[in-house]
Amino acid sequence: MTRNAFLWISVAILAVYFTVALLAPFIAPYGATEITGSPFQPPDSGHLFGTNDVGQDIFSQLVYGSRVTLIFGFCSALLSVSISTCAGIVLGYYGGNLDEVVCRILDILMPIPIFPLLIVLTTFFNPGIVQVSILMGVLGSIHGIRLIRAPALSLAETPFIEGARSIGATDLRIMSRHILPNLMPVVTAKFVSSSQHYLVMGVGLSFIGLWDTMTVDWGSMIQNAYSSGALSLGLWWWILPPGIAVVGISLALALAGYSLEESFNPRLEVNRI
Amino acid sequence: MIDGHYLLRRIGYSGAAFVICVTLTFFILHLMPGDYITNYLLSISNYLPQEAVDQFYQQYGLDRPLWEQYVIYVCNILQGHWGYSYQYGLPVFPMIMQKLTWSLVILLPAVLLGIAIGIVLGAWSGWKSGGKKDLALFNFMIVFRAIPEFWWAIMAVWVFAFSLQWFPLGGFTSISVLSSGLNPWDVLYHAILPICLLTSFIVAGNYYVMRNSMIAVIGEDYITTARAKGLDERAVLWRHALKNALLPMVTMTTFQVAGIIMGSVFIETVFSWPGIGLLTTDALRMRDLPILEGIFLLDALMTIGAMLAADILASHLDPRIRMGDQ
Amino acid sequence: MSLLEIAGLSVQFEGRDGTVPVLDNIDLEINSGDRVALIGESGCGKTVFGMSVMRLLPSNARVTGSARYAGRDLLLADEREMQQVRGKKIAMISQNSASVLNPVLTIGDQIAESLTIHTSCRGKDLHREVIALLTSLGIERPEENMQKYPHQFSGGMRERILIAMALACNPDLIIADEPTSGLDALVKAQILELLRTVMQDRTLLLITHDLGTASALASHTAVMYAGEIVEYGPTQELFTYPLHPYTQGLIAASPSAGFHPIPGVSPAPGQVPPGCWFCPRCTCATDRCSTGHPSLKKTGTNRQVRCLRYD
Ligand SMILES: Nc1ncnc2c1ncn2[C@@H]1O[C@H](COP(=O)(O)OP(=O)(O)O)[C@@H](O)[C@H]1O
Ligand code: SF4
Ligand SMILES: [Mg+2]
Repeated sequence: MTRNAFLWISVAILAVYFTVALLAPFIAPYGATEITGSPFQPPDSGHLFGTNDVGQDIFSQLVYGSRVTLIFGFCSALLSVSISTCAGIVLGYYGGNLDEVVCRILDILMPIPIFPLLIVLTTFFNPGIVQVSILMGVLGSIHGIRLIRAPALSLAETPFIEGARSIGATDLRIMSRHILPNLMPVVTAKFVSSSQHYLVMGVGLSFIGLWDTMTVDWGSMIQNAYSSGALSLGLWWWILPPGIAVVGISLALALAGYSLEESFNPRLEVNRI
Repeated sequence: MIDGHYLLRRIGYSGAAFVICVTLTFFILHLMPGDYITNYLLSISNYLPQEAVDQFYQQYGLDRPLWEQYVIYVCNILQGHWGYSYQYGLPVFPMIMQKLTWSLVILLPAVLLGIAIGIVLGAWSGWKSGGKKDLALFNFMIVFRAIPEFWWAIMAVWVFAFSLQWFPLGGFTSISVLSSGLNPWDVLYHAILPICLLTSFIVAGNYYVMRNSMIAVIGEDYITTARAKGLDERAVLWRHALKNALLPMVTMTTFQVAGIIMGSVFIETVFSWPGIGLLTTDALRMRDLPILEGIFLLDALMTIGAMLAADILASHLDPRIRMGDQ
Repeated sequence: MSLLEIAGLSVQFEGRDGTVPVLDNIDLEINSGDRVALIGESGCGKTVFGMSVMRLLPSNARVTGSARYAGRDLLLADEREMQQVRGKKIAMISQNSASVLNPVLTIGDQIAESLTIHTSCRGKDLHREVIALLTSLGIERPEENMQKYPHQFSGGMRERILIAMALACNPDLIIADEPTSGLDALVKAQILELLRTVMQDRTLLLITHDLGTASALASHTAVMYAGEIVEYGPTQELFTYPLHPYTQGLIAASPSAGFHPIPGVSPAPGQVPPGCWFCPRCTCATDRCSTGHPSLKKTGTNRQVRCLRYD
């Protein structure tokens, strides 16, 4: 199978996830926290994936839960990649003292561990999902700036940018019309890999209890099932659906990221002269 | 032999990073509604003895100007006074240190094994890049890494502990032996599954970096030069490719390992292993800010220290950095 | 006596979109004691030629033809056999001295390495041998310098080190790929002088795009265009009476002749025009040049040229 085929398969899978998240009220038969049956009901026609310990419909929870998970993953990735891209292009294009100073600052910030910092900040602010995504996006962007800065720097030195400058194009125009489009492959690949990374991280954070107990998402569903002993009670329908949902989207994103990276940046698997 | 300037600058950066972390935690505590001491005392009992409040005010200088409080706070951090847990009423620092010991029981073997195996696999895969076996391993690693760590852990518990019953379901020791004190073999028995999982996560991380690094190196001109001398493939790999490919690993590996300290959060939570990770989860559920801040500081200290060590080591190994450019 | 006899050597690279031919049907004979220069514009395939003789092309290269060295076709030799040839019988001075030395090994180690593989020289002898090599190549304070790493040397010094590495095992043939490119005029003159001395009674295949280097060092010169040889002859004669329009153009383009570059660019690999490959850039082209592909023909006693004008 070609890389392209991989890419299209993952795009199709992602489309399914997005549709489900968007159309959640039409797809889910019940509300996410609605008690609609007796506890621990195995899957049947009324409850596609059965019910949990308080009789909530697992299928509906899964469908509504996709919203939290996708919002966290994609919003934080979008924000973080946007910040990295803007900062990276500006640094690479202007260079000089600004670049020097910011790179020093990045050097200093680099070893600060984001994950526990995020936990501390969320515990302190006790914010909603969107705010945490913003926090995550801002913190995460630190690691992406250099990735964009390096190719932006070499682009800024190419004759064709010199040419654009000589015919009087403004800096803003050069950065947005000439440099950015050339960086799109890197930016796209970074966005896809960041989405995967943050999405899994979001589910993980939820698994260890970042959100309040009323928020239903895949991480809290898994946590709930696991800590209530779904495994030892043999209630596979309780724990498997959210887990498989995460694995599915994470795999799709990983495949997409991988095929993008390969196609934009073909690495000849031979020695060069 | 290391360029003194370079070393000094790195140390300066590390110091600055730590100051930023401490400042962050100070302001977060300071911005809490109500003051820290009252919050703390209220969290352990709803009666507030005035002497206790006074004593704490004295100790933390809460009635002084902000910058003095900051200095006192920094001094306290440096002396190991990291505040008190809301949840347990105990000092944070000794608590974290005790948990850290437990974490190290699984982290240390996993890190050592993981780096070694990851580097060997990555080097082999990169050297053979493009071949069938390389691609098979590479694709396997992509899939492996795409599946969240806690999900691997849950599945491992299900298969190996619950279904096959090869390992205990979790915890660090069996109830039965607890009366006669801790039995190292029993602890090991409980630790094996978490260690294996952590190891494989570290392997996967290092595998990638090493493979890429190796692929970059085998495209270099000096590898062709080595072949042109008449060296056999084995000598080209061992004498010329490996050392060059390992250089970027020093920093990357540290980065990976610094990340795994938090990766162990999931493992410890799934296995109820009483280390930093489980403490994080507990504190997070209880919104126990002082503990979480302590964990952040500890992780920051470890990461910053590890990065500094890695930089120094890398500059020692790489003659280009060691000598500076002449 | 012929030391290396290359006949019908062609190289193609397999890429994502099919194969591209880079070298086409090269015939070249190098006799013991000859110093043959291979000249041509960048990208015409000179490095690929050198590498194909050493069998060091990447795995996507398809090489056909023969390269007989001491009666043995190197293109048929197995890897083990080639390892005995490389460095010991045929040594190479690779182009681009900044990247061909291993950055993490001292230059002493890198020079000693060839000796360790191919000779029984060890310990003190080895040390002495390396010192002697460095001294003979005009590297001062060899004891101190052999402990240094490549990045600590200038381009000219690195070139000397590469020459030392190539000479280490006293090989029968040395392939020198652009030994003077990227050096400033003064250093270049020094390296040329050095090469002239050390190559005095050796066999050399000199690959260069610089005519000055070729005329200073080579006894014979082959001119390559777009992957085929278009002219061959004794250097002196060839530079005085160039026959092929491309050679004439190259000479006119050299700085000493006033820098009149040949108009147009050489065709990309695999995109050669029908007829004579040089036709689109040739000032002497006639109608038949765009249809009939000329073959390499002997003219006079010891000249060869690939041009329809000499048919
Ligand atoms: N590994 C490779 N794969 C595909 N094409 C190659 C490879 N190596 C060299 N080439 C092509 O062969 C041609 C000749 O290259 P080279 O021999 O390096 O030229 P030069 O005469 O400057 O030394 C170039 O057009 C180059 O693109
Ligand atoms: S054959 Fe014709 S086109 Fe080719 S070099 Fe000779 S004269 Fe020029
Ligand atoms: Mg070349």
